Amino acid sequence: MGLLDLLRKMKSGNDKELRILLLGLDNAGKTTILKSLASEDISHITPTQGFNIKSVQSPGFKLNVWDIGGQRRIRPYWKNYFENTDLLIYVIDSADQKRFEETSLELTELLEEDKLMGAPLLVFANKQDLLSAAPADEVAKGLGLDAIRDRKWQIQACSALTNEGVKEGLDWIAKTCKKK
Amino acid sequence: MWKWILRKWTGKCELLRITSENPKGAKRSKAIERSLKHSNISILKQLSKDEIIDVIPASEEVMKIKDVIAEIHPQFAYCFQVCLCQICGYKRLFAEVEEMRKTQYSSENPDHEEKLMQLWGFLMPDIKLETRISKQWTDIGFQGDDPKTDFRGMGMLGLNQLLYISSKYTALSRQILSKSHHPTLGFSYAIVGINLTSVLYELLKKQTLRTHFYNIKDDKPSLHDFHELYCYMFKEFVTFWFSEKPKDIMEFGRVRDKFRRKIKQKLKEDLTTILKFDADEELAV
Repeated sequence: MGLLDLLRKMKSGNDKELRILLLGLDNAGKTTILKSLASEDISHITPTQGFNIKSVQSPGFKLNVWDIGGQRRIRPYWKNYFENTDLLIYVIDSADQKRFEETSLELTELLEEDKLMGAPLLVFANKQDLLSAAPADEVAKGLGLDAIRDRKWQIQACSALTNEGVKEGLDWIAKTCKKK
Repeated sequence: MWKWILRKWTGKCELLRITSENPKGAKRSKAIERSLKHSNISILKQLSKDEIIDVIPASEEVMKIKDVIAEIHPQFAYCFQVCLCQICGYKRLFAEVEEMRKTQYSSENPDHEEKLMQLWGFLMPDIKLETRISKQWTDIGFQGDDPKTDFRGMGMLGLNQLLYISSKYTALSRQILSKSHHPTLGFSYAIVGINLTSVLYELLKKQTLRTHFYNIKDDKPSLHDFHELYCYMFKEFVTFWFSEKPKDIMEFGRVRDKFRRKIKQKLKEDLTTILKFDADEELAV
């Protein structure tokens, strides 16, 4: 190990570790966002049976991101991952208008969970690369985000496919968790 | 330098030494591939890259370049041709698989739709699919009411492999489907199938499957061979899944990764390995 590596290691050793939960319906793009956060290849993604976890290094933070499968039969397991969550990322397929109601209901239920109380919420309005995608403010309105009073929240338009907006989301996470 | 000494000492070029010292199969073909890849002669180097090679003229040319005299080494030409066949065949297979993977499932394509319907028919012979968009798809392990989004990164390769096992080994696939409904150890049949396609695809891409394909026959591996290997993987995985006694489906990632390591180990440690699929053998779970 070189001196530089050693220094870097010591420095990253001081980084704050955050436990981040990545949730949303199936086909919202959670795994693609996870991989794109970790700068990995996103061309071979398969539906998540179970969960994926990755550690992402960002300036001042080590993010441990838990990406849990979104299919209906897996959703009952979401609650097993709530404990000690520092921040919740909720992913929406902005082009799948048929399921806005379903995703909105799931989110509402999540926000009522005791174990997630007060955890900041970042909503990714994903798939903005698609023509049929609803703009982020419309998604926010549909989800009733304006009514949230008990936590910090942010909506971020993004396309995990083109990587647009993902970094901005990461910046918001860093900003929000620094203040905490 | 080393090659030169060996050549002078044994009177044989490296390719000739490899074919005479190694039994046919992965050991020999991998050694030939390595030798060609590191050759200083561009024609030889090119042979390690091409997807299509006319092997008879290619071997004649190599023999001329390397001064291998057919009368003295009568076995060489055939042995070398088999190796070339396998080496370029593997590359060709990957290209074919890659093209299939990149083909996205499209609801507008009648051929794709037909295949999806066939899949339902093979797995659920007694139950009619009420509508194309239906919650019933989750019964065979898709995530929601329209399977099209589940193919994702595996594209038509995922569907083709699901269809292959259910059409050719219908009894086995139905047996696996029924196991997938186990109350605690259950899993999503189609989603697991697509994930196994992904495991197999990665192994093909990383060249790990050469061991198997170079051992199964003295010819180029075909798409059919690749699909047969998928059936092997599916059956082995299901057995492995139950033997691991996972707590619930959330352990899928861990078990899948362990399974992948096991297969990789098998193919790396013993170069004589063949992943033999036996459809008639009872599913041991």
